[in-house]
Amino acid sequence: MSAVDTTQPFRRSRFLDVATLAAVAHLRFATKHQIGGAYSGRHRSRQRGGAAEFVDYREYTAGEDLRRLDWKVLARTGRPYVRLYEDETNLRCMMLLDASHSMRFGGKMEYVQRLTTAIAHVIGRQQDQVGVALVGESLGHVLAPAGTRSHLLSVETTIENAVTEAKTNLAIALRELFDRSPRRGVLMIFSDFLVDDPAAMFAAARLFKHRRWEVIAMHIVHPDEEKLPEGKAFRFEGMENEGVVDCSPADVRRAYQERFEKHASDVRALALGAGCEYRRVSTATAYMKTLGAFLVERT
Amino acid sequence: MVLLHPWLFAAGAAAVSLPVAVHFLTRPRPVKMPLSTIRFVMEAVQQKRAKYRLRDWLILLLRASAVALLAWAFARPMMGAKPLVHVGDSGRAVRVVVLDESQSMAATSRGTTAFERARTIADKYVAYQSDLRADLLLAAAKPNAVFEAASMNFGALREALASAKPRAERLDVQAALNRAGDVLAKTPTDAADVRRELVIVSDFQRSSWASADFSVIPKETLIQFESVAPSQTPGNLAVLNVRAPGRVEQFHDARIEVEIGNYSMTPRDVRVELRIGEATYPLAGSCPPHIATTLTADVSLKDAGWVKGMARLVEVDDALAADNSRFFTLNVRSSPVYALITREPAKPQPSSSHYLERALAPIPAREHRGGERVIPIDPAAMNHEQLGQCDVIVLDHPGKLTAAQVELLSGMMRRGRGIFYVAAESADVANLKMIADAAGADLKMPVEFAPSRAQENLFIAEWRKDQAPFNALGDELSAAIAPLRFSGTLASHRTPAGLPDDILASYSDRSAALVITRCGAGMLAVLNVDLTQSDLAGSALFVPLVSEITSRLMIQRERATAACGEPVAAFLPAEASPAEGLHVVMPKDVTADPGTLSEDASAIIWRIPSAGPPGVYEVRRGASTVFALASAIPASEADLQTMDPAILKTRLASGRHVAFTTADNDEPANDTAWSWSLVGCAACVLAELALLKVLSA
Repeated sequence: MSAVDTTQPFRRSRFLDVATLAAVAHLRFATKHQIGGAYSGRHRSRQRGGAAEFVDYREYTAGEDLRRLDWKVLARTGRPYVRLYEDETNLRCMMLLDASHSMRFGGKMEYVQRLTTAIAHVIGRQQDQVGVALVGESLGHVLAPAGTRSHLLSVETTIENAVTEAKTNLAIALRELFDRSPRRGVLMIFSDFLVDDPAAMFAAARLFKHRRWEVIAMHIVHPDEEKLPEGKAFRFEGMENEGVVDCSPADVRRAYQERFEKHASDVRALALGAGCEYRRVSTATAYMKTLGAFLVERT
Repeated sequence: MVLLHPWLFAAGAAAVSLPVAVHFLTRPRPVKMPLSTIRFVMEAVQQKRAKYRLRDWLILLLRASAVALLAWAFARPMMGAKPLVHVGDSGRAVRVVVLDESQSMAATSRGTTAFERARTIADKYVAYQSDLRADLLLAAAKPNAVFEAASMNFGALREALASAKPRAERLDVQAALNRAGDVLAKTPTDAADVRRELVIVSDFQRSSWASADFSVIPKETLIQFESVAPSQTPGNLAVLNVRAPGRVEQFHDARIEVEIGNYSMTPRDVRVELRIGEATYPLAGSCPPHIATTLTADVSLKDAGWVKGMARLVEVDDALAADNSRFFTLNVRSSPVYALITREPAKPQPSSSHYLERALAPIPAREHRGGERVIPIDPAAMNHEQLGQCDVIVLDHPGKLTAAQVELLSGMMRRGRGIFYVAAESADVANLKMIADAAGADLKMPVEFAPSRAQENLFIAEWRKDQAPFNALGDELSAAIAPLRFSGTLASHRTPAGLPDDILASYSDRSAALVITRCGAGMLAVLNVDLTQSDLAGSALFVPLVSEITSRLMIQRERATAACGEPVAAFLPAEASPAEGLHVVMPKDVTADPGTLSEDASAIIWRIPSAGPPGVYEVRRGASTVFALASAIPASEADLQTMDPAILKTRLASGRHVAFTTADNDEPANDTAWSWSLVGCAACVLAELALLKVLSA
């Protein structure tokens, strides 16, 4: 069961390195699609409104609000046109962290903790709302997106104190989170996707897409997961009670790599099939570099 | 198949465990490591497990095989017949080991004698083993068993084996088999599970084994032939015999024949040193392979009596050194003495006995140079002592002989004395009949004579010109015989038991003119002629004819040689009587049974149960030698050719369970397994490397 020790006083997370984050201060987390936020912000809103940025003209149709009629155009052309405007709204980003034991391998969890803390910091800095949800055997601690400073500290603390659990069921957790997320936003899933049924998980993710969420699947992998560690013989122990196996990595490396890559490509295909953005993140890459590359695309 | 070094294979078999141990001990110790993607590892391992398990077991198999093949190569497997008797076989067993001790086993090949190889092989068969009873049979002319029945006293067996050595004897195979059969048959019959084993360690010399009969061995016996003969018969030269054909007389040249056997693949030039008494005569000649060659030397001996001698091959390098020399003895006789038994008066007159006397001793004897002497004896006065001094007994008109006289004559004839009977009277017919009856089976006359007929002017129609006495008379014989006319001869008719070849001359009426028949050790010559009624006595043919007849009669089959290890019964010369005062003198450093001297009615018999080692054994009266016997290695031992194993296993084995193995290492067909084992070992190593490369890739 993932949990956050709420008795701890708010303090900056040990995973937050503000000095390092200065390097990405000029970048911002922008959505690729239109979203709907509660407040006015810098992100494109799905709503066309009157007080916002002009976008286009459209011919007037009977019954429309005459306040939107552009009288000057009517005077020049004699034809009624309505001015169209696009609202700017704020970003609501929900970060879903896979807190299964498998995420402890090779410091993947710590990597995710550092990355998500940094993303939360970036989002908070641009006056957007960020939330976090930890998924263990079930949907654990959930902090709905908010933009206050105290909330941001709470998010950081939640991430910092995340505890992994033996099992995870992302599909159920996503469905549960879906039920608890009535408004649109951005959902970032940080996971190694080592689940029994990734198709079910992405089926749940598809629900978010149907609600016009932007879903980003961050596939966290460790280099040793990609091609097994070097060494003569290992007794590998499953991190989620899968048992043990003795082998010489050299003997099975090729077959292993084939399987792992198939898994990765399956996850990617499922993610893309569900309308999600897919990113494969190797822990061999510094998290700041990963963050920078991510934000560059979205600024 | 047998292993030359079985202990090496045992060590190698133990070493096979090394790669197994190395295989398991050097398996890398796995490092514990938690892994998030273990499911993929499991799937990969599941896919590869069969392949790598197969690889591991194949590598282990190849390594173990390489070590095993290496050990197998060092153990020197000899392909061929599988031994029937295994040293380590469990279960109750009775084993008889027959070790050939004959002289041929002393043959050297590659620096060791066959006997030493045989001793090594026999030793493993008499090693202690629970539930095993064994006996050792040291076989030569007589088999000598260590125990009467198989025993568990292996210490005594090995002690007897250690002290065994080749003897200058032949191998009496049948005696050895009979004895082995006796020992094996003593196995308790109630013990049905007792295994009978017969191990024969020998060179399987062809001359000894050609007539072996294994039917005397209990039928269920397992028979193991262990051959120690080299694959290639080694070359051997030997002095096979030394003899003096005819009568050796003092003051006369005597021809000594030395028979040399060349049992090798190439002709050999040989030199022989012939020593007689104090004199030495060199002989030389070339000996073709695989046959016996006779070298001769003419020697003149001045002193009568027994002389010792030795023929020795000089500077010969061959397989068997013991047969390169041979002892012999010669009885140098003084000029012959004839006993002329006749009723006719001794005064010179034209009588038959007069003609005979003149023909027997044509030249009067001279002092210091000898010469023939004729002792006329009246039939009524003849006795053993008188006749014993004479070389030939001549009967001419003896009249009717008594049974005692006939018995004396036939006895002397059987023991080697020659009788020359000039028959012309009816009494002679009866006498010859009585002599034939008295001699019994020893004398088979080719004709039976009948009283005289009234036929005149018979002539000799047929004669055997190729045989004595006619073969010595030259080309003028026909011209000399043709004018001769005979009257008053006896009639004769053939007997079914006699040999036609003994009739040397026949008259024109087909009656026998001259018959010479062997009787025991002596001979009987019958000249069917009335010298007074024929012109033979006046012809030039008469003297040489009588001389040749008496010479032939004096060729005595006097036994002067004995084979080592064989029983001997030798008649001493008549002049050796009486037995009292005689003693046997053995060769120096020889301790053997001297035998016994016994006297019967007419002669002294020297019986030796087993002739001793090579040397000259003498019977002396005081310091004077009255008889000398040379003991020598049997000539058959010189031929080292071996029996074909197929004949041993099939024709001679009489249906017994037999196996033939050979200790010889030079058999190329049998000794290639080790090299193939090494090739196999190298192939295993290469296969392992290839397997590792292929499967790891």
